[in-house]
Amino acid sequence: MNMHSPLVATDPLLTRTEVAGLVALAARTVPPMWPLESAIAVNPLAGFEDRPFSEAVRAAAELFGARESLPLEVWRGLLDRGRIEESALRDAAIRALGGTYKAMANIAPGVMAIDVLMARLLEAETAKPMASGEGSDPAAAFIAKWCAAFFDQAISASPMPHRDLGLYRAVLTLARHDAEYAKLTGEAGQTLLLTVPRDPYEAIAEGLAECVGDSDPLGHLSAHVARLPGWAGHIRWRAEHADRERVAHAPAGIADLLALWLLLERTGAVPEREERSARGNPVRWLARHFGLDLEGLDPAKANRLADIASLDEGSLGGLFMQAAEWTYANALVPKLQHATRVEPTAARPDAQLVFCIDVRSEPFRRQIERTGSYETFGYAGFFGLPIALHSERAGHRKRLLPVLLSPQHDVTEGVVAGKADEANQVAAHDLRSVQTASLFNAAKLGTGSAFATAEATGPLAGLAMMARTLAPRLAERSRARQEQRRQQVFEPKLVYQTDSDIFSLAEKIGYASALFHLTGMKAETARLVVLAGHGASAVNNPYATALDCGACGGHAGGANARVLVAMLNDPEVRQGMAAQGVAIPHDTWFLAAQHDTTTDEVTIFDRCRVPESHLAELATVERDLKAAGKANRERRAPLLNRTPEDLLIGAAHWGEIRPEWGLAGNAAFLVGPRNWSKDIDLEGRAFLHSYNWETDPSGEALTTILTAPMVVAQWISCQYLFSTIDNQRYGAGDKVTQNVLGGIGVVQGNGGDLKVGLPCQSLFTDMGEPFHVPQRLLTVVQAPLELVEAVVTGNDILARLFGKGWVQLVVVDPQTGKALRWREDDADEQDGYTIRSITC
Amino acid sequence: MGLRKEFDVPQPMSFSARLDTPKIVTLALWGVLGSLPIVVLISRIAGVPIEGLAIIISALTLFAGALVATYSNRYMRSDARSARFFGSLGALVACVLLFVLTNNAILFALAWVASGLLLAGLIGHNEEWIEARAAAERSRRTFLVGDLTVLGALGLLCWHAGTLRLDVAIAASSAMPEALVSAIALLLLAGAAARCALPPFSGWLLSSMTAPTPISALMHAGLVNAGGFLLLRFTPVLEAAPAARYAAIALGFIAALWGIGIMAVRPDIKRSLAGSTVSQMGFMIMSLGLGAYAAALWHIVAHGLFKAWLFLNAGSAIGVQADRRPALDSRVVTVIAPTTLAIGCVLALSGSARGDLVPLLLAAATGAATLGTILIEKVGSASRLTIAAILAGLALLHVLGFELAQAALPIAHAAMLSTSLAIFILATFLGGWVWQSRRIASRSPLPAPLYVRLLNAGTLSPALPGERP
Repeated sequence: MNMHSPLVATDPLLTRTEVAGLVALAARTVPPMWPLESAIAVNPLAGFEDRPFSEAVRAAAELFGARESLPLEVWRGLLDRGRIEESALRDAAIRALGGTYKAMANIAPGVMAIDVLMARLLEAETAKPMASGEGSDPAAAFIAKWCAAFFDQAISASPMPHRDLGLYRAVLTLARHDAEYAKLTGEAGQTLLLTVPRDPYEAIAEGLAECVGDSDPLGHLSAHVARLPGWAGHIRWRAEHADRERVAHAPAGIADLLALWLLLERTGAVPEREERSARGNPVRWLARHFGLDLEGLDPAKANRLADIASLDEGSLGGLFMQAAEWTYANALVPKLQHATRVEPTAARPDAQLVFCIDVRSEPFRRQIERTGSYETFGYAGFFGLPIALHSERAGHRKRLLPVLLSPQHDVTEGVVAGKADEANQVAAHDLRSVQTASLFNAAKLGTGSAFATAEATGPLAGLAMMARTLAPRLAERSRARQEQRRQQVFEPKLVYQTDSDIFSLAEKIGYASALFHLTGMKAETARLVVLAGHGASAVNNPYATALDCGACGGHAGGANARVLVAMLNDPEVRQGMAAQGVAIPHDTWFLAAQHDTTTDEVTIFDRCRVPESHLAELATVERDLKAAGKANRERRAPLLNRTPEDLLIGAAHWGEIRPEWGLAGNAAFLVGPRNWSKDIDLEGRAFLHSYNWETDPSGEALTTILTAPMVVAQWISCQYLFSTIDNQRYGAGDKVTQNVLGGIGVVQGNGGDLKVGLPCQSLFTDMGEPFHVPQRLLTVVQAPLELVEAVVTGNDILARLFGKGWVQLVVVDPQTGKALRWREDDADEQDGYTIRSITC
Repeated sequence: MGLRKEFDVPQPMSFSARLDTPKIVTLALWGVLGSLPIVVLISRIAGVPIEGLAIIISALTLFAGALVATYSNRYMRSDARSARFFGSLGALVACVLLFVLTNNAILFALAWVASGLLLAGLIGHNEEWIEARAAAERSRRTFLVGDLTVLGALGLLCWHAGTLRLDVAIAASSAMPEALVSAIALLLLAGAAARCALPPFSGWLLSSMTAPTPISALMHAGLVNAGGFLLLRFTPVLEAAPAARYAAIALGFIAALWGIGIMAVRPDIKRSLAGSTVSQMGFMIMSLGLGAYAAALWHIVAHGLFKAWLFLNAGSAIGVQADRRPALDSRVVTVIAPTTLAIGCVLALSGSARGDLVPLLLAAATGAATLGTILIEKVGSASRLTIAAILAGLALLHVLGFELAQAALPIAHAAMLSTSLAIFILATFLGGWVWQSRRIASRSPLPAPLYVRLLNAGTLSPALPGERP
């Protein structure tokens, strides 16, 4: 043993494995972000869901440099317009002050604590809206530029060199040619380019050792991930959810991104995160407002005043949000409570229609129910089918299922029997359009052909512009017709061409019966049962897929409906279902359809298969669907400040920035039979999942509903909520200055971070007021309390979502007729926020 | 980052809001466009006919303006400053009409400068956004340089001609000393280059994506080609100054190639289109230098429509499919390019070549290459016929447009300036084309230094001094 070896300090470098662990944890700062061609709503704060809601909002605001709530001015505007009740705000304020007794305590003669807080909420002058300063950080601009170049799917004809090396190494290779890099990092940058490890994990280890030592490496990495949340989210999508063949040409992980950030940080190019500006002190304002003598107050009361004055805008905004939630709940829950005892109708309805749980289905269902003897159901719009669809035209496969699941069956689009000739025509037409477009794209790029191409296509472009601007529906007609023909001659096939089944009989029976088990639909079905998926028709709109079915992974849901209908009409499947106790009447015919949420028109699929005996009924249903669509357009038009007719024009117009409101306004998730909510106008703000507790003694169906569709609804709710609160950081900003990266998403203006969330046009009215009032999802379940309690406490996800206040749960117990609110984990029992009757 | 204040408390309705500016501007633009033929007719009857060039540019600008305004009625529906937006839009079109139609040097100068300021203002439409302000500032500065040169040229010209009437002053230019005319022409060229975003002035256009989409469309359809109009308006001055013509050819030639490179590397749709505009404007200015006036005029019109359409349609780029990078068949290009060059040489040597040799031959080559690609590709004969028919239709439109431009101009094309120069240019474009199509076919990337330079071209310096929040 060599006694003279110098004392070696512990190696400051983390091992590769340690770094990998840190990187994986840091990556969770942002949720994966799906490309806009199949937009998925995600909670931008998904990485904070293990904390209580308000704490998470605060921490995320800190990390992302975002607002915690809407500016007070905006909340006050909502209050003025009656979207929030002042009494609810007062209740929230009283609770914040620690209950009625403390709230009523005097601070000065005739001035109670509650008065002071209400004055702050309603009258005190507010800080100027915080301006977020992204875009002025050259380091972020540098990384964003290379991310855009590296991940480019389709726009550039000359892709970035060395993409096969991975993001980090490719940028290292190119950075020495990059004048901007030189300007940003100076000499230190050039030296580092030569010495920095080529492996991103080793580079991170070195960078961490140099920049943070061992104080808080994870916090440091998380802060870097949060600097460009959009690109980080895109990388997570690529790594965790993308089909490999789509992304293999440009491999990248969060480690690449972090290695780049640390590279810049080592050269001193990364600016310190700015502290948010100090808040003004409203004590003086309050003293003036109430005519208080600050000097003369006794210390306890002065402290009380100071406490109230020290509440920041985030906390005050939080009270407004609570008030908005209570305003909504106080109006809705009593109605649901009273409706619990409505007896179901016994007679067999003329038809039954199953819609997606989407909030846009509810008003349409109300309309169709009015037109005749129809019963409607709400079921997740992918109809329980974990499938991916391959179609010749789309190129890559579409995952038609919620992103929580992964596809179990790969369905291929095939020709409807007997329509081979027509199919060939349609396919030839499609191919021709693709080839013409491809020729055009090629020609406009060549140094020899670019100029003549512009000259030759210019007049045509002029005509096209005229048509699409002045006669948009005429211009869209040929495309719409082609789409219609395509849907008629192609269908998703349950069988491969080689005749091997994609679904086993048992699976088919399982998927078919799930409809009945989960929704509580009775086996004695009507003669016609329509399964309606939904999609939207928006033209020239990067956010078009955000209007499609979220349960189908941001696609239209017609294909799923067609597949399930094919199973349900299969005699073998019916036999199997009957053996399991779901005996569907022989005279029931299932029919697939698709509800267009922009135009409220419903397309019926596979009409040619409908037996003659059912044609008359189908005609009636179609007539009523049309009437329901018209009525629903009339209901929606004033909300959009347009005429019903204009909704149809807007759906085809290439300049229409807001073809429909999408899921804006979503507020509740109702789990229970339709009879329960049928007589309540839910104003298109509620997800409706049909459920019957009487057929679900084990709570299995309820668990599925709450852990799958409700979680999707919660993501949507959180996306709308946070996009509204801070449209720059959690949302996508103004649509009119967005710039599309093909197949990926949008950036603002000349570049920068990939935008997350929704654009302001999806959330705010033309006057700039929030159309979507930010509030957390309210889930109302109609079931016995014990059943719900067992389900929630037995499931970690649900215990967390309800316990940490991400979703509010109210149980309407049909046995006792009581409405009970789920208590949050940290709620103080004394303040009455416990399981209690909500109407007390 | 857009720093729009969506949260402004609704202001009491301002006077302009009550007037419904969007509707008024839109109707006015369509109205003026509709009455243009009548105005032209009246001017004929009154004996002061409007020139063909002015009619064509006016019609183009009005058409693009009216379409953009109609589109914006929906697109800008939630804009907080919509009155100002539509007001500027209308004023911008009015300025263009004014400098296109006026014969008075002072009015011309005023309208010219005002159009630049209005455009810069619209690039910075979102005032709370640092990047938008920076982009607007950059345009303003570039236009300032360009406008000063234009003012200088006008001043010199009118001073020496002793008149404010542009037609008289232009006619007088042939009698002016050569050095003076050259100076005037070079100043005009610099002004044109600033508006056309030719290097070294391309930065403003390449970083103008802070403008709302419809403004980009109008900018690329009606505003950038003001430079081309300027040179066409002052053709006699240009013809009297060969040095300026050579400069125009050189500048345009470089811009045409540089812009294509920028377009090829950009990953976002709007900046890719901007690269394409730089290239197209370069080609147009080069054609002007070569003496192909009618070809340049037709290029202004057709490219304007083409680019406006692409911009207004930019939202559709989200669905672009991966790995369908298109190419004309490289074998076809490899055959067509040398053939075209050979024909060009024969024409040039036979002495029958005109100034528009390059644009016309390239158009023919493009047609041949697309047709060739269709014939080689594996498609049904019906499809082949359809696509060929479309091509024939496009070619016909092209010819008609070219004829229209010829009819509109007093001099449709000047004599060939230098045969060898034209052949050199032709050879470069065709050679580049072959190289490009082979490179795309073999999927080999650009050399790294070139790639990075192209990617960085025109980047707005992210932090302006004093702008750090």
